[in-house]
Amino acid sequence: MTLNCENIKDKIKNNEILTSEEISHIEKCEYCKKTLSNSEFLISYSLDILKKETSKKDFNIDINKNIMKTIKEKTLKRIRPLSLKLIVVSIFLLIPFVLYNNFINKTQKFEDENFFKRQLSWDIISKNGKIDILKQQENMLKVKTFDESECLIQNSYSSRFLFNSNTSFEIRDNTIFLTEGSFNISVTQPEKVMIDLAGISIDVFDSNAYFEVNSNEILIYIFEGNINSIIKNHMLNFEPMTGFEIKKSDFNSIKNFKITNNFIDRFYKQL
Amino acid sequence: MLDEKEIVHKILDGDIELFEEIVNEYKRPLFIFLYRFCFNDSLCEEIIQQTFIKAFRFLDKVDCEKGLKNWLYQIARNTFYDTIKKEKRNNDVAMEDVEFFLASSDISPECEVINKGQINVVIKVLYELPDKYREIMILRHLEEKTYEEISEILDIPVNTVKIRIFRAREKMRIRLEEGNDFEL
Repeated sequence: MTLNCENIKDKIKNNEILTSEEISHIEKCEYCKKTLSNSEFLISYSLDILKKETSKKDFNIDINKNIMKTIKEKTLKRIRPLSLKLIVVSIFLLIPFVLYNNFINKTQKFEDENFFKRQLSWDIISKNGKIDILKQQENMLKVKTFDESECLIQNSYSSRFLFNSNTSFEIRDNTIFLTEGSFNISVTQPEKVMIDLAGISIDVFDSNAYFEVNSNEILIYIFEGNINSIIKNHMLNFEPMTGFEIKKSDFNSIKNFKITNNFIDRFYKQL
Repeated sequence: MLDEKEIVHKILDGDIELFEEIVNEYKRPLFIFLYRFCFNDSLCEEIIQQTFIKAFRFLDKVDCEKGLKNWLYQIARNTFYDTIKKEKRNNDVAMEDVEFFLASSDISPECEVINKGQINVVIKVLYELPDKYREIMILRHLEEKTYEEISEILDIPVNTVKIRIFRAREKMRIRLEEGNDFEL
């Protein structure tokens, strides 16, 4: 027995790798042969043989060309994942915005629908003039005045739209589209009304506000109440007004009728 | 001469031609490593290609301090198992490939008391071991990796490596002694 034998024994027990010299030693050493388990020795010896044998394996495959070709192709395609990442990130950033907008739109739509239902009950009043209802649908009312008479649309919530003359406008949902002429608007209840004048949007106003809108300038006469906001900066004239009375007419009898309205008379005198 | 770290940085900076140096450096060790897994040339070739392509793709994630070799071994090993899984092979190592290797190789024991047949049986027993034991025996005894390197390649703790090697040898020993054909 030598120290080397014990070392070898320990190495085998500890699953350590035997060197070729150690394996050679085991082959020659009677003590090792006797003391080492046959199978333990055989495993170490066989693994060593297998290691040597597989190391000799020829490797003649030319993979460089294929790999480098694929890599170059992938490098060119790297732009795509980058773009894809950007798109994905953009989408994720947009999702909250879209959801918020969707929510707002739905809320708005709900409000619009409710609001329009109320709009449908509007009365159209003409003072000495004619109003032609060009188009009337569930969600749209298109009206045109033909002369210099004053007309007024009033709904059950006392929102009033006063026309000057030769005014053509549309009411779609909660939006009034002025196509020609000018008109005055009065809102006496908290309603959302939007005026679109030649592409200039005047945002929602509050209640109890009285407006005149011209195509070239916007004159807003506050009867009482506040204006919430006005998109785009235009000239504003504010003039306090006093109250007035309007006799309403049925929606379906709009042809010729009078408004006994001192206020309106006074209003136009000022103009 | 650029060292590995510099090569990696240059490749990441866009000099992809340098990647060929990595391929040249490691294709043979990887091939031998994979060949020891499956004894199948075409499968090895396929996996090596995939390994290098994956390595290129994830080169920015390599820890240059630890070196590329074991990282490539890790990719190769994982790619090997992925490929086997995709091909839905019942056994990771086809025994006919082992048989073919044993028949075609020139195993000639210098030791008088051991014959070729006995060695063949040991090798077959090795390749009949479950994956986790066989791979650890290959890494330890054929690739001569340290416990730490094996731990890194297999992504398991060093203690688990030691236990697994011990159990693998035990399983082989028991299996061989059951056969009772190994009297020296």
